[in-house]
Amino acid sequence: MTCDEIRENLDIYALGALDGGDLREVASHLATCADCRAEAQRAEKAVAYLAFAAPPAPRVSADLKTRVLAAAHNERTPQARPSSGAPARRPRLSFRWPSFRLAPAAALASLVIALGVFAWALSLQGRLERQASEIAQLQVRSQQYREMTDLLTTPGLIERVMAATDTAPRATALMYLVPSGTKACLLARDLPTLPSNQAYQLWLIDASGQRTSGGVFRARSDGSAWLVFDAPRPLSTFAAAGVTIEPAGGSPGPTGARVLGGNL
Amino acid sequence: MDYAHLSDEQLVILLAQKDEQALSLLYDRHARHVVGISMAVLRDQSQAEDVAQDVFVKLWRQPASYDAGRGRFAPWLLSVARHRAIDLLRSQHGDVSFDQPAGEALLFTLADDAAGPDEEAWLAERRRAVRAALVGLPAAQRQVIELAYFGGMTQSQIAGHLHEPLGTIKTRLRLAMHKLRDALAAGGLELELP
Repeated sequence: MTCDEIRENLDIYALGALDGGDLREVASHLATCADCRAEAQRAEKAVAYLAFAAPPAPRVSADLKTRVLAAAHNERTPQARPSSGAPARRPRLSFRWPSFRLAPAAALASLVIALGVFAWALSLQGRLERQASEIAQLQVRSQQYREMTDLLTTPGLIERVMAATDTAPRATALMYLVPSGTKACLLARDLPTLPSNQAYQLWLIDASGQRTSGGVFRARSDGSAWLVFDAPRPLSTFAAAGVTIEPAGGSPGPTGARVLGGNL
Repeated sequence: MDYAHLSDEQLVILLAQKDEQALSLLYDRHARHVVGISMAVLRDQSQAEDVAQDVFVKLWRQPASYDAGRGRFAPWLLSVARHRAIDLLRSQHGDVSFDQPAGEALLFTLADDAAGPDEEAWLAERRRAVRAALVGLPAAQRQVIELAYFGGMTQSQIAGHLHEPLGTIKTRLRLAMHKLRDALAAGGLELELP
């Protein structure tokens, strides 16, 4: 093909829709012709605009971010090596110290955790592997804790009390939210300890009675718990909230006993 | 340190230092767009979110895969997501096809766009511009663009899908892209994505 004929195909090439003999000819021509390459780049830039035609998703699952951050934590890429596709190795005694570019409190927490892990590393290697996974979970929690402290300093924050039911008469909780926003947190006390196959689940309830899950959480051995979550729409569109007991991992809708409830 | 004033490109540099706050902020800025473009390809929220997870984790593992010299971060990230989504689509269907008549589907999404309150102005401006340009295309041209770009179809597959000659499809694709470029230029947008 001549340069003119090649250029006739560059828009389709940029779309990724060229195939067959056309694709082979254009690809081999571009390898040798700088002018057509420049033209191809211009075509690609126009095509790149199409990415903006797709609207952003109105909502994403509350736990997607948690999954991303947890997966990032589970990466054990050696620090000094240039990026390669090497899979994570079994951890040995020389593991990576946490970066001190973290905020001081988080760096200190990471250091404390890291010292604890180093002590463990002197013993069985299997124990180190299990501990590394716990660190990952703790670090995700510390990120969520930061989100919660950020929320608690937001202007327009309101507090809502959640009352106990007969199922757990001593439990109490406070919810903090900004009504025009989507982030909220729950701070609970004196929740009964649940067996390992159960967990607590928070529900947001709108005026029509529809329940939307705000997330699954567990109580600590002292009965306290906290949860920070992102609602799918502004919290002012919900009328009430409740906490029920569900199977570990949660349910699509409330199935178990309600332990806490309150208006928003 | 408050990262909110940092650009995406600066945050990616921090990612190379394994800075989780940078990852968290990039996620907050772009997750809905990544899921959105994956939804345009896959039409399934759960799969779109799987793609988003893959994309952000890959970004964390290989921040160097983004080269700031080749344009801004957001279009690059959306391009990675689109390719991943199309790979997933192709692995599921030997021959890609749409439930709705193609072109209609994009029109539908063009109608109900709502910019998020935290969407960056420059992103919102580009979305308005390209959507206005697409609305100005004849439906048949919009359709082939959608099949190619969001459906991952080649010119031959589009021709087979629509029962049209290959030459007709090529002309339609070409005309659509020319019109798109003219409309974007008329809207004052530099085609050098800044």
